Amino acid sequence: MSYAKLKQRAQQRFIDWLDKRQPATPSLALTQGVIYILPSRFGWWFSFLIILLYLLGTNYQNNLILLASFVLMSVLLSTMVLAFLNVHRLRLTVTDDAVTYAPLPAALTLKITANLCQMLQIRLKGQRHVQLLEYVAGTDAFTLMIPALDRGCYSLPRLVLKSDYPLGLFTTWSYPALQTQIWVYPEPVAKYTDTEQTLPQATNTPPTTQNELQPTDPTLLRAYQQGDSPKHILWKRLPAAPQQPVVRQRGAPLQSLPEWVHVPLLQGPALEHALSHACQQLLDLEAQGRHYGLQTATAQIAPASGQLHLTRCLQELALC
Amino acid sequence: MLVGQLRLPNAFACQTLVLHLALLALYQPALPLWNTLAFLGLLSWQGWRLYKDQPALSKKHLNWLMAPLLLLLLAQISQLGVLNAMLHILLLAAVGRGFTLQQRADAIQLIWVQYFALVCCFIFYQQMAMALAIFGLLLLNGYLQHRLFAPANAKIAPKRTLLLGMITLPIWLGLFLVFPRLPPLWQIPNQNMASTGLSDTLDPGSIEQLVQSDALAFRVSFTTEKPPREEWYWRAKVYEDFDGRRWQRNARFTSRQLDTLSRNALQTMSQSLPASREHVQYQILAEPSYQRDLFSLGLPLSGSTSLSMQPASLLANPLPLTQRISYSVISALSPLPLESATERQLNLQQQNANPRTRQWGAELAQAHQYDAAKIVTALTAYFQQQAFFYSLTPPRLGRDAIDQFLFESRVGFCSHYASATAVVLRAAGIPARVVGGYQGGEWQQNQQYLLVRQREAHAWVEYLLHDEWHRFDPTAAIAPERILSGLEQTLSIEEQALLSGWQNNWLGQLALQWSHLDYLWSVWVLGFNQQDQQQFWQRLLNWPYWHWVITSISVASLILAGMYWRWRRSLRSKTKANVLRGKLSRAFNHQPPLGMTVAMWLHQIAQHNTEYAPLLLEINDLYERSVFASDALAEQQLLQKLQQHRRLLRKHIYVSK
Repeated sequence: MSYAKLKQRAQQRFIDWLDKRQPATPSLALTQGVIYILPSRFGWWFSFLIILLYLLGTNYQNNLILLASFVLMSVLLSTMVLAFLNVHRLRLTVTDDAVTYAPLPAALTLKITANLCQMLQIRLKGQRHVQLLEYVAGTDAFTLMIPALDRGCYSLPRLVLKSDYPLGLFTTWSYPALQTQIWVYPEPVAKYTDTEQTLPQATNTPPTTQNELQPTDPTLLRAYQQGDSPKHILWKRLPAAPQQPVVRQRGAPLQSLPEWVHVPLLQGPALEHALSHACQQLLDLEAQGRHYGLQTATAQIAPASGQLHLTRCLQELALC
Repeated sequence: MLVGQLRLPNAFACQTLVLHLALLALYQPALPLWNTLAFLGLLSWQGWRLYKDQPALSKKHLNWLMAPLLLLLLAQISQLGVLNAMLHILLLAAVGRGFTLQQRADAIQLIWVQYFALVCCFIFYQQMAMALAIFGLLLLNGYLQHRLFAPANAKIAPKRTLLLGMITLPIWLGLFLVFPRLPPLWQIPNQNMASTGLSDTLDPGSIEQLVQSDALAFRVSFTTEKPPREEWYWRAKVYEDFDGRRWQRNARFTSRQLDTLSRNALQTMSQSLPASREHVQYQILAEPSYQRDLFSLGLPLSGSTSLSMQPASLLANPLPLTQRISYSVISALSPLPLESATERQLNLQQQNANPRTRQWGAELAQAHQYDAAKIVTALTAYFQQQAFFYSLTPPRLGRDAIDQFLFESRVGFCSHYASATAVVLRAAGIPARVVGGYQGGEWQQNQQYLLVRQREAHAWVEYLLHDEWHRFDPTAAIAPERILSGLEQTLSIEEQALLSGWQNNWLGQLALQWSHLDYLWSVWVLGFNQQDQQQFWQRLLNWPYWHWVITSISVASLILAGMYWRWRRSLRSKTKANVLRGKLSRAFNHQPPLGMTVAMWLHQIAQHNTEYAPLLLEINDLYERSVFASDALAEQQLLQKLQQHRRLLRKHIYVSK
């Protein structure tokens, strides 16, 4: 037990040390201070080989065997430099947060810039899944897969960049921290999946009709103006008033009343349900181009529309 | 490990197969025929499997395959010896692993074994050509290793490879020159090889095989003035036991106790000797003979540390020569001292055979009052006056071989003359023995070394006079050209044809040039030892310009450090804010006043130039984003904006002072 505790404490200290040394930034380059190099397991075996050959050469007094062991030794040493140069000056840049809906894994787009970097293995610290970048020359967009997470907002864990290039004798690695968030929104679920009605119910707004616009609805007709498409002219009405063509107005009325999406004060699975429905509502409202606001137990977002507004609302849901 | 789970690179298995075939060929000195065939069968099966693109064998199947081979190996282990058995196991491991390759991780162990197996080839091969070939194979193995850790379709980057070479080569040479060399740490198993060169018995007739061999025996370079050709008698063995027909080495040369006689004995001897004698210093590069005997001129006084002193002033290596070694010796070209009374007794022993010779010896002794010098002169005269001939193809001799040779056939080569002379001298009461070694050699004028081949093998006599062993070469009496200009001049044309063969055409010239190159290789690469390393250091330390070098290096490093420090300081002042601030000031042709932020300044300018306010505020925005959010894109845009509107910013915008 004490061993596990010690190990945990050591790991925590290491993480603290790393955080102090390499705080998260949106863009960072791998420089001498943050690249670590140690012989890989094969590197140790290789060193053992060198010692073995040196002993063999000494005992047989055979200069060629000694020479060969020196060749391997110098290759070992110079590989260290090459392994360092491989990842040196590699630049990681992150521009956007990673966004996903609850059960799906998120994907973060990174920009990787390198002179020439080969066989770069990327994973998240604490995760086993490794992604391999065989070849980076210039700037590449790289999609970092993030495992499925519960609803919420997470800061991106440290990455582990690792490479054994060129001869597998040295492992070069680094723990870069990128300043970005992973937003996991609630899973959008419609309340009544078996009915066609998908609009909010728990609101005090009157339900809006979704029917095809009737040509008889006077609010949706207006006088023809120059520039209107002839397709929109109500030709049936033309004989009655030939001087006043009437056109049908497409789309929503200019200023409809804002919709409010409410998330009641709930807990546990009930809260998750409510959030899922609210999420679906928000998405639908945005798709319809309506004005909408969000009211949760802790926050209120004034009605507006647009992608940015939707993002704000969804982020609020994620944080509920 | 993810990379380990990747598929093997294309053609990887084929390249390893080629490597294994090469290994099999290189291991021929250690492999009996049947084992070679077994390995060849395995490899061709593997080749067929690769051709048919069959999947790798499972471990279980491989074990079934390897078990009989291992049993075969175990059955042979006593004949093979430890070293060969180890090589077998290495080869078996490499070939077996080749069958189970699936992922990259499997191949890593294979690479390791192949490195080891390839380097072990140097035990057998040290000639330059073979060494280069083996280094080539090592390079191939390194390339295979690289492919395991490189992208599947990556090309070799010439720049990086060159860089690797540039870093590797100096480290390599430095290590070779500087890394400490140790004496052998423990006894090592040697391969079982038939010895070459001089044999331990001298039966007139046995040298005949040697004489036709063009193989290299050793090479000598003289540090002091080279002695005249008549003095090139390279002593290697002394034969003291005679059974009437054959000469044998005495047991005192093979007894183990004497191995402890070492360099100390050599040096104390040199101290007791007067310094006035002519000393010769020379370095010998001996080819592997699988014998312990080494070659020296006259009386060796001191030599390399590893040498041990044998009785009769002979030098020997502690272990049989399995590879080329290089050693240096200082010799006095003087008669050798008598070591003990038993040595005198030993060299007076006679056998019952050859009655005529013994009788003639006794008569000679009486005629010359037992004076050794006179008897030797008489013998020389006898050989010269009677019809003696030098020939490589003498007739067979019967039971009393010496009698028959001296009084009947009178045709023979060095060992006939030497053994006959020794028997005559012993019969005359003068201690005498036969010495085996090499005489002469080809002096390489351009390269300044002496090349001694096996066909220069020779035998002569040493007799005791005033308690010193003097050399007497009866062959010189019969065929002085043999001594003065080499064997070829002595022989008839047919016999020369027997010797020369292909040496005189251009191919022979090429071979000779190659041999010179090989000599340099041997001296500088193979022969480089502890002593040379020490000498190298001493020469380096004694170099008179050291203080200049050290002073200039320290001055240069001080200057470099100063430059680096300034560069670091300028780098520190070159923060992004400073750089961009400078660019902005250049663009506006004005500097933001002291105590004013760039933002305040730009806002102020915007107030004065309302028509350009949007542009100025955009510039401010971009500036702030690039400085405070490290936004590379914004920085780029800012620079673009400044460039795009440079005339406008310079000319049309009013900036208050």
